[in-house]
Amino acid sequence: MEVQKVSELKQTLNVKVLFIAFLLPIFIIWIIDSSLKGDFSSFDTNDSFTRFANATLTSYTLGSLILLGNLFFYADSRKRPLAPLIGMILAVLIGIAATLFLIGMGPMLLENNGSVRAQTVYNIGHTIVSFLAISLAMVLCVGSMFAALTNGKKRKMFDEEE
Amino acid sequence: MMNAIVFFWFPLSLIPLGAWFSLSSKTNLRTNFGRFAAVLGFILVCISPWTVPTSPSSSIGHLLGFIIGPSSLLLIGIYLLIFSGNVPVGKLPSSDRKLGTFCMALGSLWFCLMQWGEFTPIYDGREVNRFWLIFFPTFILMICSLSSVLSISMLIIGEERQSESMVMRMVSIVSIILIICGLTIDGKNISSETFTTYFWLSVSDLFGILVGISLSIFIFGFVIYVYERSIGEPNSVPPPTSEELSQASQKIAANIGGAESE
Repeated sequence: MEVQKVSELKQTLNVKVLFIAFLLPIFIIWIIDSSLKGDFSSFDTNDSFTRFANATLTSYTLGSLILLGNLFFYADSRKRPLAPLIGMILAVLIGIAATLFLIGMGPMLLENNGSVRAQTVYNIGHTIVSFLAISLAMVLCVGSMFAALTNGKKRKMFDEEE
Repeated sequence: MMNAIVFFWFPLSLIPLGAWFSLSSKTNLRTNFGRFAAVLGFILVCISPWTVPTSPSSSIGHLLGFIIGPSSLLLIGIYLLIFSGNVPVGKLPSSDRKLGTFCMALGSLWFCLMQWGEFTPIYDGREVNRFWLIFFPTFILMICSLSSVLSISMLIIGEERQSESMVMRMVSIVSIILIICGLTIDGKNISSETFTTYFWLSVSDLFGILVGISLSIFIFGFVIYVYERSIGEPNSVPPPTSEELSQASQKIAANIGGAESE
């Protein structure tokens, strides 16, 4: 029981350390940028919030749509049930409705686009480009890690028997 | 509007649909059809600046055409670097390591020239492609943060991985330097002020995407959990008969043993 608690605590700590490692470069850049420019106002909080909200709504909707497609694989192993399919369709519809409703509310989520349709189309294009950039970066980082691992000296896994 | 749907959005949707079709199909014909649809969609998206020049969405096709060269170089470089090392299968000659490093350096230089030099994607001969202003900061920011995470994770999970962790830390530091250069040095076509604006927007964008994707995965898990809980316990099978048990023991006895290894 004690060992399990220590293991869980270590796992939580590791996740926190990794989260800090993700944020640390951004903080370093912020501090250097602020020091070089002499103020802390490099980013506009209103624009940043608008972008954050649009990115959240669009990626939620697109992510749900992809996972809805994924449900077909799940359905293959479960005699094609309808309930999860309907649940996921509902989740996608909620995402679409929330996006259209919040963009239609006014200038809060409109980014230099004149109409709800223009903003929605721009959001989809923007998210696709961001996904592309994130995917390429992930492949390169994980690839670099494997390149570092395979180009190191060969390790002996087990001591050979005499 | 109709032209944009036919020549841009429909081909764009063909890429994931084709990939999905080719991955999920069991027959060769359907797999090849899926691959063909995905490649056709990709080509049609790339040529969209000519087929639908009036649509702002065709800037994505324009961007794809510009980044395909340096991205391919980086991917080929990574492939050569990985498989020229100590891998148990598919090992390439050690000389490919130099070629891989060269491809990586050339790909990175090409991306830098697109940001600071003359290679910037200029759409319609007038202004910088706005999707490039989104792509590059997001790409470099993700490399910076992810390599930092991988560097720490190698220290936490791996044993005696200090040198490999150092490589990933170097990748993170180099990308921080590139970001600082973008924030302070004006390019031929992109000013440091524009880069600063788009860089901080890409930080918000990245967090927004992470939150949105996490939310959709949570909902997906929740839907499956609710369904699995509602179907109840599966019917338990009856215990094996003595005849089945003796048949199983015969099978096991026939397969246990073998020659002693030298």
